[in-house]
Amino acid sequence: MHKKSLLALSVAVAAALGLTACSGGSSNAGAGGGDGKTLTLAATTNEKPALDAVVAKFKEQNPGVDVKYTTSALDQYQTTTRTQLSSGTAPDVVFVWPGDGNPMATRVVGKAGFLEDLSSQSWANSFPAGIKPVTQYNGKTYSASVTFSGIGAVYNMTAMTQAGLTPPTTWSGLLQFCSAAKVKGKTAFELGAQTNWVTQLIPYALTPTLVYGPNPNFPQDMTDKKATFSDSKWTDALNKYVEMQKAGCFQANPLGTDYNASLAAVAKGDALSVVQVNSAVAAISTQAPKGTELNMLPVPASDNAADTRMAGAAGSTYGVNAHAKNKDLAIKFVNFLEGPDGMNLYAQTNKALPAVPNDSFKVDPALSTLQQYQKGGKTDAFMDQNWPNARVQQTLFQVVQDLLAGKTDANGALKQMDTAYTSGS
Amino acid sequence: MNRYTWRTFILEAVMVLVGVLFFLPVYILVNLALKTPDDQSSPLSPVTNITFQNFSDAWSQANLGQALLTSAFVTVFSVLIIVAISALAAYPLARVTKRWSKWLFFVFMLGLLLPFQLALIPLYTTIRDLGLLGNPISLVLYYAGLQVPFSVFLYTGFIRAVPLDYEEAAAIDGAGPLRSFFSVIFPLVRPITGTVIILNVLHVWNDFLTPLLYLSGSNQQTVPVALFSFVSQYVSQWNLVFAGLVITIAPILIAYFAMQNTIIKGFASGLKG
Amino acid sequence: MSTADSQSLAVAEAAAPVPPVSRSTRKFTARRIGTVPWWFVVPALVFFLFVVLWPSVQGAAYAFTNWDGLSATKDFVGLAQFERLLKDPGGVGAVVHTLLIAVAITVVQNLIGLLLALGVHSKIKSRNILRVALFTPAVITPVATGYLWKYLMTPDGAINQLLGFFGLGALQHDWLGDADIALWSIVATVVWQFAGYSMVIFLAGLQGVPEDVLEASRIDGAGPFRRFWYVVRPELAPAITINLMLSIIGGLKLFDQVWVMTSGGPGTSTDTMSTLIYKNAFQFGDFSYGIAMALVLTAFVAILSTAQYKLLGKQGGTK
Repeated sequence: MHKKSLLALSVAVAAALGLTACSGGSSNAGAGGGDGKTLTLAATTNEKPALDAVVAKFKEQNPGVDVKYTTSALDQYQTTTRTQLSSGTAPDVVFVWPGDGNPMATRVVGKAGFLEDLSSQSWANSFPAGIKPVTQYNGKTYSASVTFSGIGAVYNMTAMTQAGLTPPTTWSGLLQFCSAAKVKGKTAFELGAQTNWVTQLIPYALTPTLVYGPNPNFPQDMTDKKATFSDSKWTDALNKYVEMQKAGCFQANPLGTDYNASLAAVAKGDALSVVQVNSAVAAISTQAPKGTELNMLPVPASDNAADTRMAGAAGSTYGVNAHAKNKDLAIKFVNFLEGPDGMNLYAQTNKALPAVPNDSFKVDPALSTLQQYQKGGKTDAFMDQNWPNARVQQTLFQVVQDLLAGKTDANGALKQMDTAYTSGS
Repeated sequence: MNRYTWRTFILEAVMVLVGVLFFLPVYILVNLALKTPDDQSSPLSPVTNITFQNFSDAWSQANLGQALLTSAFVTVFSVLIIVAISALAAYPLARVTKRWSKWLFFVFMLGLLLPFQLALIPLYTTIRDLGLLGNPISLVLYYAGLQVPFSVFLYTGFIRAVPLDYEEAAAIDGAGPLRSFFSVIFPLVRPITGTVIILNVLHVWNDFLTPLLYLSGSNQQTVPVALFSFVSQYVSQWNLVFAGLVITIAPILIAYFAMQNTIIKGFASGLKG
Repeated sequence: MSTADSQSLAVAEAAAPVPPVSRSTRKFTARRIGTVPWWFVVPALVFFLFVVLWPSVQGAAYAFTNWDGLSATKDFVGLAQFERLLKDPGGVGAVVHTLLIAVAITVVQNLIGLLLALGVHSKIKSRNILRVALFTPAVITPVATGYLWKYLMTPDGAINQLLGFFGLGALQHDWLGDADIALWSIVATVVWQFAGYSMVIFLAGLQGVPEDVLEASRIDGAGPFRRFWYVVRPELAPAITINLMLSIIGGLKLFDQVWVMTSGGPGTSTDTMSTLIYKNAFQFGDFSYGIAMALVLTAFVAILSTAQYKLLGKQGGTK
């Protein structure tokens, strides 16, 4: 009797499983791949519109080839892709972050041996000086940057004109702009500091002018333990952050406002601008009334307008899985992304600039200032791309929130970042 | 049978008020799902020009039709297995007073406590070695094991509360343990079977990370994965997402509504029959 | 499936030899307790071992290495990861937040869940629709309710709008931006979502309350509280134990809502053990350290839930 009932149960289970085998079978054959015809790729959701466009183009140029791409939100992307890489089941092409400081950054993944050496590809040496190092580890190229992105204040120019204001070009001008906006009942800079990565944008916008422009060796000095955050002009940057808050540059509750709400405020014209990455230009314009003019400009940090620099760095970046099932096709796809067709299409769709400046790219007027700064060499890479571990950036998120809540000061905040910087791993 | 007094009326009024309060956020969810993305009115103010565009967009963009099928398949089969093996296992755990039974119960309970991060990578490599990645069967297996502790826990508690008289009567009639389980115990714990089904369906239906991990790279996706994969972190279209959510929770709510009467009636007949 | 099974099993049963009486006489006198065959647990145990227990044991081994979650290499480092834990300043705050969340959720969610269950286990006409309405939040995936409430809790969001509308402007807050109340805002979200969940389990328990006894005690003049305490509560004992266990474990392991609503912020004011585990294992590339934390969390949850289970057991909670 016992055996029979067990048998009944196992028959039921087997029947259940058998049913899926039928429904699952066909697709599985395609995914298992290695047939040289089906490329697999994974990226974060932000890349989806651009991927839709470039994949269609790639398939058009390569008849008979299929590209299966999965996109997931940043947190899930990091978790799943790391798990897949370490288990040897990752897709052929993976989205990676440039440089270091992120668990899926080029140097982290490259160091662990999961990225194909792409040094011999023709584009590997064509990147501008600001981008090339972050695609490399130990002098070898492990990833391909497709876009260049920057951080600046995105102004709603239509609302600015209505308020009779113009974008400031000096630090004191910026503080005056804040009070003038307040008089008009507008927020000068909407701040969505509830979303943790948004907290870093203002320091990133200020430190090129304050720290990295005057001392280009600062990242190296930090690596050599000759400099620390708390002992540098980073203190000025964080103090200026607090000064902006005290001067009423931000809305009443920056810590209760998230990224989306901050963009919505600018789109509506309740706020005149927001310090953001260039992708915000596209996000705001889809929400704003038709005809709203946007412009992304540097955030001044000193009273000499000529000193002003911008944070600009490699944006969307891809690597080829060293254990890819379709390595040739994967390299072909990355080469396509680095070619003029792929790169410009990608940058155009993602509202960014191409990683390799070229004349055939039609720049969005809102990004023309960023392009000028890129061409003029007045940009510095996003700071985290040169930090030795992911803890530093996460600490920055946390201390800025504490700073805005009045729970710490610039020095205390930077001491915590120094601890994170030296915490190894 | 029982009269509807003024006390009942007051209770009714209070409960309706509480119900409305609880439902308010859900109302906002549905309300936003019906609004156009450029509608800047307060989320509380009722929609003025209703659009079903969000629903059809969510349906097609997230490929929800296919996802609903995959989710339904995974949910139905894993919950069937869970109910069968957990109820069966709970019976000796609730009745046998020997030491092994107590220990085994605690071993199962340990499963409730373990954070998912522990098993994540070893289990993933096992599923890979079995060649089940990209196949929904992997999810059925996974949930069948994962939800055992929770379901055994629910069943054991309730079987313990069932008086022994019924089994004794069955035993005197000459029924063996299997028959007294299926003809006496299982019908008696029908309300908790209903609860086990509902709560497990919820978990399986809503789980996100596991299907993302195990089905990635295949054409099949479950509902939450399909839904969230088209939400961009940078360009959020909440009207669309909320519409998608409404579509995906509707089947569960309908099933729950239909089932709760059966569960309650089933119990009554179980006691009398 | 169950009907077909029981039929075929009944047939199988009839054909099976009756176990020799001599072997089970001792147990038979103990009201047949103990004659339920042990192999009933085997199918569940097999699935459980394969999916949960064995992989967890394998995974726990990472806590004694320095694996980053990616590299092909890892070294055995003994208890070094646990020693780091002792010196981690973020850890203490996370433990305190985790405890606060777990206690608050356990108490409030179950109290509300019980009241709701009693309310809809009555003669009111709207009981069926209310059972669905009150349960609806539990059906929505926690990630989505997190987003929904984050949206409602913005400074000019629906909650503050409603408070303003009813002239309660003084109660308006920056619900998630204020470090002093963000934790409680998250608790409120969780309670809202899962009170209906507790209600469903209580309802299942209430089905066992004998109507005639209740009616008799009513006629005897017992008030509603006496009726609840002496007639309803004993029947609810398993439901109470289960609900308390589930909410205490759920509270201690809470992750989705915290992650979506605040990611542990502002600052570290809502960091819990689960968010710290996640950050270390997957964001800092410090996988082994995250696993070490997860093991500590397991021990933590085990101690607290066992204590609570024993406590209830003494009260006759599980009979």
